[in-house]
Amino acid sequence: MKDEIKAQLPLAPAALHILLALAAEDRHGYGILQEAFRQSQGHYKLGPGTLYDNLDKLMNRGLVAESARRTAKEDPRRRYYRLTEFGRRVLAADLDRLRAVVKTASPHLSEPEAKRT
Amino acid sequence: MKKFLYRILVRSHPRRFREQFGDEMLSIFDEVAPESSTALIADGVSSLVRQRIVRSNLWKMACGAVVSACVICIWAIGIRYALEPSLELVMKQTMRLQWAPPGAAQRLDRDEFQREAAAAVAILAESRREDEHKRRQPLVPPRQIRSSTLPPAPRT
Repeated sequence: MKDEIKAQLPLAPAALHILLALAAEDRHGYGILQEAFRQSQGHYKLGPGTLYDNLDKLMNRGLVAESARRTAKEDPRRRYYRLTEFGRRVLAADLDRLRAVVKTASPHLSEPEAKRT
Repeated sequence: MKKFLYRILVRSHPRRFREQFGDEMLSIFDEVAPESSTALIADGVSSLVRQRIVRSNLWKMACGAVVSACVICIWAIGIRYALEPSLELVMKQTMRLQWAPPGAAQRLDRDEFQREAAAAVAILAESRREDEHKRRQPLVPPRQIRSSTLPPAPRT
């Protein structure tokens, strides 16, 4: 299982933002776009073409699946997506990897500032 | 107008992708503010290129075609330089025949023909002279030849 998770890493920025957007709850495509925009504090703006290209790949890799959640009032063209258990593990593993990167990089990046002050 | 353009872009995507996500892409276009529609069209174009070329492995075929064309060009240039001396000769001959003044080639052929005819007549005359000379020489009787060439008979 660990090897399967490792094979998925590192996640591309778009894939990471999509998985992060789906981590809290099931969302439709437009919801994922809005959540990715919000989480990145407006720095990362996904387009529908990029979103669905990445969603297609994530669904093929078993990280995301289509959800049954629908509401009657909503646009019938909308479909909801959810993070699978495997997708959640992959996301956790990638976040651990990013934490390790930050931990390794932090001392080197903070040194010049410390010397200046 | 922009929606029509975006619809065309979505419909131009590969069938599988269009059937799975096309309606959702159009629903997102309907939801976003009109000022973002230009960005969505640009995203649709990049998505179309990605799906049609990158995801369909068309780029591999395109690279293969470019590499093949380069190889054929290099081969043709190599052949052209390898055959240059012989080609040059053929070209010169062709040019000489094509650009010679009218009648020059004909005169050249006639002169040559006359020279060759004179040589042939000379050869013929020489061979006739040799034949006549042989005819005038006395013939040796066949018996004489035989007796002179045979070894002497043994004595008993």
